[in-house]
This record gives sequence, structure tokens and C-alpha cells, in this order.
Amino acid sequence: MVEVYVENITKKFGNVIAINNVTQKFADKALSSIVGPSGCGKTTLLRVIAGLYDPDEGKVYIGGEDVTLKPTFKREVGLVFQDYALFPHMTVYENIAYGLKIKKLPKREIDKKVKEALEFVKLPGMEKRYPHQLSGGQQQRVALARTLVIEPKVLLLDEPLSNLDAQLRIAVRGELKQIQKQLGITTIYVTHDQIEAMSISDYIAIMKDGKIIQVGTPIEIYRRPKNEFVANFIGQCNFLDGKIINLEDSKAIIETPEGEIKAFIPDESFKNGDSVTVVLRPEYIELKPLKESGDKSMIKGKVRVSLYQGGVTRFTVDLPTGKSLIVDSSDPLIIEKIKEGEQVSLSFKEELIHLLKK
Amino acid sequence: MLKAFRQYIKEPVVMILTIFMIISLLTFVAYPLVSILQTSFFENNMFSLRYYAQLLTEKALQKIVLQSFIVAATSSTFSLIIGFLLAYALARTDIPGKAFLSIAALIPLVAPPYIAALSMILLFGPNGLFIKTNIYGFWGIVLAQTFSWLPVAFLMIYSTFVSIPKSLEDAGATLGASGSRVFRSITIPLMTPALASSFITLFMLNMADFGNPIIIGGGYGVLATRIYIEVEGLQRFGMASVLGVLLLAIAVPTYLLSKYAARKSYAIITGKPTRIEPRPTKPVIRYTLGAFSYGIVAFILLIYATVIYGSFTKIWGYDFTLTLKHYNTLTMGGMGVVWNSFKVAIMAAIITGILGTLIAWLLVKKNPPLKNFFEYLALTPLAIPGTVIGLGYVIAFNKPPLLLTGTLWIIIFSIVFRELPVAILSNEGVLKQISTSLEDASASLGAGTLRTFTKIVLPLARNGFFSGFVYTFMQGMITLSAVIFLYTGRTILASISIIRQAEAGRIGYACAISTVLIATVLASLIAFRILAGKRGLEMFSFGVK
Repeated sequence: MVEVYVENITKKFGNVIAINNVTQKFADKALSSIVGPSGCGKTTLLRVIAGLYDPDEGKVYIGGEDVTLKPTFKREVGLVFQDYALFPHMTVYENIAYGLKIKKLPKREIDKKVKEALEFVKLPGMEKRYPHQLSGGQQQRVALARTLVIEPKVLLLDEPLSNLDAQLRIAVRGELKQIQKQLGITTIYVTHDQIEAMSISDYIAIMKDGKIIQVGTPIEIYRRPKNEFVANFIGQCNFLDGKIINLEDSKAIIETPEGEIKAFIPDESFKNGDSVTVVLRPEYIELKPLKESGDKSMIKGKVRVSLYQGGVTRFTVDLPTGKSLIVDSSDPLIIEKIKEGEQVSLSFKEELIHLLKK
Repeated sequence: MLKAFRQYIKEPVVMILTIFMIISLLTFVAYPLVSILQTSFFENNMFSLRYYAQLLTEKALQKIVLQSFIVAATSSTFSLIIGFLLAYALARTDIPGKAFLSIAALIPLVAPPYIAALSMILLFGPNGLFIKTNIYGFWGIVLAQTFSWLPVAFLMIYSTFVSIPKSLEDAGATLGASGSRVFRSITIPLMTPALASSFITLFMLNMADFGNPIIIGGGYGVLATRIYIEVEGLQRFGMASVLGVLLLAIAVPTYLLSKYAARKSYAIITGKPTRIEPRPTKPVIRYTLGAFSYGIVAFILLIYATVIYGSFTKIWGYDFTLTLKHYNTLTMGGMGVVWNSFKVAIMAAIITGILGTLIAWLLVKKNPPLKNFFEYLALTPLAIPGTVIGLGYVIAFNKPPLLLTGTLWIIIFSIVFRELPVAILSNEGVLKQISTSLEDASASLGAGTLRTFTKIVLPLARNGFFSGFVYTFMQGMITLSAVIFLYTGRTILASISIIRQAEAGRIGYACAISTVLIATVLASLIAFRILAGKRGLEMFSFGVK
């Protein structure tokens, strides 16, 4: 069991509070991401866990042991740096062997482990190269191999993919997830890229202004964001202001200037008469040409802009109230039919509508 | 070649400037060097190897060569060690007062290096303030040189410390390396090329140093001073030239080696300077290094304070009554030497500033024929000790058609072409950042070459001009090793006067001139800073590494 637990961590730089009293558990064997805009404190938190920063207050536990006063080199945490931090004066072999030599392993065992590590990251035979002779993707793998070979208790990754180009980033993302599952190592992954975080993580912690504001599985976070910041940070969102005018069991009817919307309340704290924000993901909205739908109490609007992106088309729909909604459609038949200026009707599945308290 | 001619038909101004550049570089850089070589191989217009043979047989000369190496190596080692510790303390520990320490440590940069020698005599000489010893000789030179060039070592090492990406050392820690192991296995290996480069640079500066050995060397001769003695005392130009060639043969490879090491260091450390949150330092280290740093800085301040004190003291060592008499003498013709220096330095600075900008512009933007050759030629003086330049000028320009001996111009030109490399490099740095499309745009809007240069290039490149100007001015005010060959009674400079007075034992006068000289340099720098306005700071960032 190697669970990472930070308790009441506060870290200041001068007058700037980088981490503000954060308490958080990072689950054993899971890949947890810390996501947030730059400057939110996510890298600082990672470095506190690694022992590279001393927290001003609070404690760090790794596998149940209080390591707050332990220096980095005794913590057995592996950290992959954003710039990889490969030692430029050492070969790939020497880089990977560095931690093993410190452990005083016999030479033969070091040779064997370096070779295995390179095979593991699919770079066999690269021992004698210097870092500057490798591509960015290769450097990244060497950095990973160097970290994994010492069999750390915890793997920490600080924006490891941000220096790779877009295509490589997606490929390496998949490999990282596989490697993590294969080794079953507790991993904390820092990134500002929400798509990266969602695709790779078991759990996501959203961080803002030095605080963790929501933790959950990617689906939980996406479907049931805690507030507008999270909703907007993870994916795109439409918001409508409304009021619960009828509540039966957990089924609510919400009155909005745009019309009545049916939804399920997320928890029991929502009461009849509450002011709420209706959260609508663009792809949860169905749109049809108005002339085809013809039925009942749907929201109507007019397409102002349509951006065809191949798989998905993004429509901006102006509503009569002056509000506009972003709607994504991946239905090729619909996409083909709807032109800019077209009158459309919009509908939503009530299970997919999320509500926030005002 | 044909292409170049086509370009010149389109741009006659460029052709005129190119011809002007070629003639001036050949005359004032190449010709003096060739003259030395020629003089070393000819005796009474006959080819002869006599002087070289003499070098092989004359034990006294060989001793001087050996001594030059020993003293340069020793001084460089001390500067390197002290500079390293100081740089480490300021870059990597949390000792208090870092801003003060780093400014104070850089003071010797703006002062003439030979002031250190003067001060050592006052502090540790036969009438020394603290210890009375015979400081003249090896240890005197070493002590003076160590502190003269300390800022060079400190700056080079400090900038390397701060440019090592912090993540490399952090990576070491996460892989299980303790602080000292990280320092040994990562920090030091990464710094090795920079340390080598610093040492070689120091070695070259010390090898070329003339002022300190002439003042405090006593009987301990080195190549730079010996060349001077061969010329002034013995009138043996042939022998002086052989020693000049020898000094060149040491200095040029040393210079190339330092460039090589610096490049190597850049290849390893490509990171931008990072601001490191210093980790709390172990108290033992903090107090030891803190005490050391403050001690060194206190000594640097003492060096200059002593000279100022000396200038107000009646008879050092005997009568410490305060007096203005050394300054009074200054006003009777003595002040004239500082004024001479100022005139020469300003003239040289203006010419160097303009030439540097023009030549850099030609080299960067106009691709003249034999571009690389002329660029190397223009930069050659970087590798040439001042003594050799002085010797070359005195041999080359004492006969018609270029009879310049005895004029102020020979002094000015010696400064101009010696400092030109710095001006060219800083201008090249600036010009390379100005997109050629700006000049193309100007041309497409109907401006000719000259108009484009004055209206577009010059305003954008003025920082390059200013740094060439300021650097040359500073160097011109304190220059010694070249001009000592070139002055006459009418054209005596402050630096020469300081040496003369010190040699004659009139230390008080030497101190007074030094004080006025340093004050003038500082006041001028402040004045330039004000005149240059808010972009003025950039002109102190000389484009050289």
C-alpha cells in the first residue's frame, strides 16, 4: 500500500500563497492527476511531495509514513521533469544507471537493469547516446526509464508531455497509461491539459489559487462539476440561469427565460424555489431543423455560425432571449442539413443536465 | 566576387566603406603584427635568426619566460578559487547582503588593474600599514593580480552557476543522491568547461598584465615587462620582437582555447538563467562562506580605500598627517595627465563606436568579399597582449609614410583598434537581431543605402554603438601596456604618470592621480548614463561573453 497523503499543506513564496491549506489523499496504485491553470500551485504541490520544497505548514505521508522531514534523496519518489532534466554530460546509460549506482548495485546488475529499462521504454541499444543526440520523445522515454529503474514508491510526473508535439503527445499518453497499469505504481500526474488528464487518469483533482476544489473520476468531474470554474475548465459549457418551480422526488422543473427545462437534482440539498444554474455540455444538446421537429415546448433558435471540423460540427445558436448556446453535433445527417441562418429547435436529455446552486 | 561587384554598382556607399574598412584593418591591425615578425627575423635588413638563437642561449631570458608562466598560473589559480567560492556563496547559499557583496566584488572592473599593486605596496610593503615586508617580487605580483582579475573569475563562474537548470540537481536528489553527491556528480562536471574557460581567460590576462609586474615586480621579470625594458632601456627592438612573438605564440592559442572551452560549456548548459529558491544552507557552510565572502569584499574595499587614504597622507609609513599636497602638485601640470587621458579616451571612444557600428554592419548585413578573413582580423586584438600592440605600433609607425610617433593619434589608434573587437561584437549582437526585412522595406520605399543606414539601422543599433563607446572610454582611461611604448613628454597619460611616480617612489602622487582617474571614470560613466537616458543601462551590457 503506497498511498500519498498531504495534510494541511501551506506553502508561501514571499507574500504569494502557492498552496493554501491543502489536504488530499492520492490513492494506492492509481493514476491521479492534478489539473489547473498555470500558477494554481499544482507543480508546487508535486515538489512538496517530492521534498524539493519544504512546506511552511502541514505534513506529507508516503505509504503511511510521515516523510515531511525526510530529504528528497531518501524519499524514494521518482520525478519526471517537464524539461526531462537528463544530465547532459552523461550518456543514456550513465543517466539511467545514476540512481542504481547510488544504491550500490553490482555492475552486472546495473547493466542488466539499464538494458531492461531501455527495452521497456522501447529504446533498446541507445546506451551510448548523449541526451542531445536524442529526439524530444526519446529524451522523454529515457527520463521515464531513469526514474522507473530505481523502482520508486511513488511516480511523480510534472507536465511530462508538454514539450512534445501534438501527435506524439497523444501516443505517449497512451503508453504512459499502459506502463502505469502494468507496474501498478501510485502515480501523481501534474498537467494543465484537461483532455490529457481526463484520458489518462483514474482520479482528477482540480486545483485553483492554491486550493483543490474538486476531486473525482474523470466522468464525475465532467458530468457533475462542482462550480462554473470546473465546468468551464474541463471542457466547454453552456450555462442558463433558472429557478426550480416544481420538485417531485428528484425530478425538477426549472424555469428559465429560455423556457422550462426538466432535470434531476444532483443531491437532496436542492429545494423547490432555489435559484440554480443549468449546466449544458455542447454535445448533450440535440438540434434539429425547426421545420422537421414541429413539436411541443422546445427551445428554438437560429444558427449564427457553424464550424465544420470533420467528426464534429460546432454551432453557435442565438436564442430569442439574446443568449447564445454552443452546440456540438456529430450526426452527419443533421450536420449536412443545417446551414447558417437556419431556424433550429434544441432539446436535451434530462439525465444529462447538471444543476449548480446559485 | 562578381556578385560583390554587382552589389557595389547598386550600392557605391558600401563599396567605399568596404575599401575603408580593409585599408584601416590592414594598416592598424595587420601591419604592426607583420612589423614585429619582420623585426624578429631581420637584422640590418638581412634575414637572421640571431635573436631567436639568443633566446635559446640567454639563461636570463629563459628564466623570464618560465617566471611568466609560474606567476600567471599562480595568480589565475588564486583568482579562480576565490572567485569560485564567492560565486558559490552568492549563487547557492542564503548568506545575507548578497546585493552588496556582488556589487563590491565587481569594483576592480572599473578601476585600473595596477591600482592593486600600488595598494599592496602601501599595505604590505616596506612601510606597510599592517605588515612591513619586502612585498616586491613574485608574491606581490600574485597578490595584486589575484584581486585585479577576481571580478572576471567571479562573473564567469557565477553566470554558470545560475544557468545550470535547477531541475538537473533536483533530478539527482529524486534519484537518491545526497546534496554533496549531487554537487560532485552533477554540478561540478557541468561547470568544468566554464571553470577551464575562466582559468584560461585569467591566465591570458595575467600573462599580458604589464602594470602590476612593473610596479610591484621588483627584480621579478615577466615577458610583458621585459619587452618594455628591451625597448626603452636597451633599445634592442629585435630581441623585443622575438619576445613579442613568443608572447603572441602563448596568447593566441590560449585565447582560442578559452573560446573552445566556453563553447563547450554552452553546449552543455543551454538553459536560461534560472532564479533558484535557495534551500536553507547548513549553518556551518553559511557562516564559513559568509565570513569568507565578507572578508574578501572587505579586502577589495580596503585596496581602494588605501589608495585614497594614501593620496591624502603626507609620508606613508612615517607621517600619516592628512594633506592635500599631492593634489596641489597635480594642479601644476599634474592634472593635465588626467585631462590627456580623458581627451584620448573620448576621441578613441567616438571613433571606436562609429567604426565598430560600420564594420559590424558591413560584416553582418553586406557580406563583403573575404568576410571571414576581415572579421577575424578585426577581432584579432582580443588575443593580443597590449604590450605586443604597443611594440608593433612603435615599430610600424616610426617611419614615413606613416610617421605617427610622438602624436596623440598613435595613442588614440592603438586604443581604437585594441577595443574595436568589443565594439564590433556588441554591434553584431544588436544588428543580428534587426531583421534584414526592415532594410529591405526601407529600400522598397525609396531610401538609398546611406539613408537606410542613418534612419533605420543606426537608431535601432544605437545600443551597440553605446556599449562600444562606453567600453572603449573605460579602457582608454586606464590603458597602460600599449600606450607606454607610444607616449612622449607632451602626450603623457594618467596611467603612465602613475607608473612613473610609483617607480620613482612618489607613492603619494601616484595615489592622488589614481584617485582623480577613478573619480573621473566614475563621473563620466554616470554622465553617460544620464545622457543616454532610460535605455542607458543596456549600454553597459557589452556584447561579449
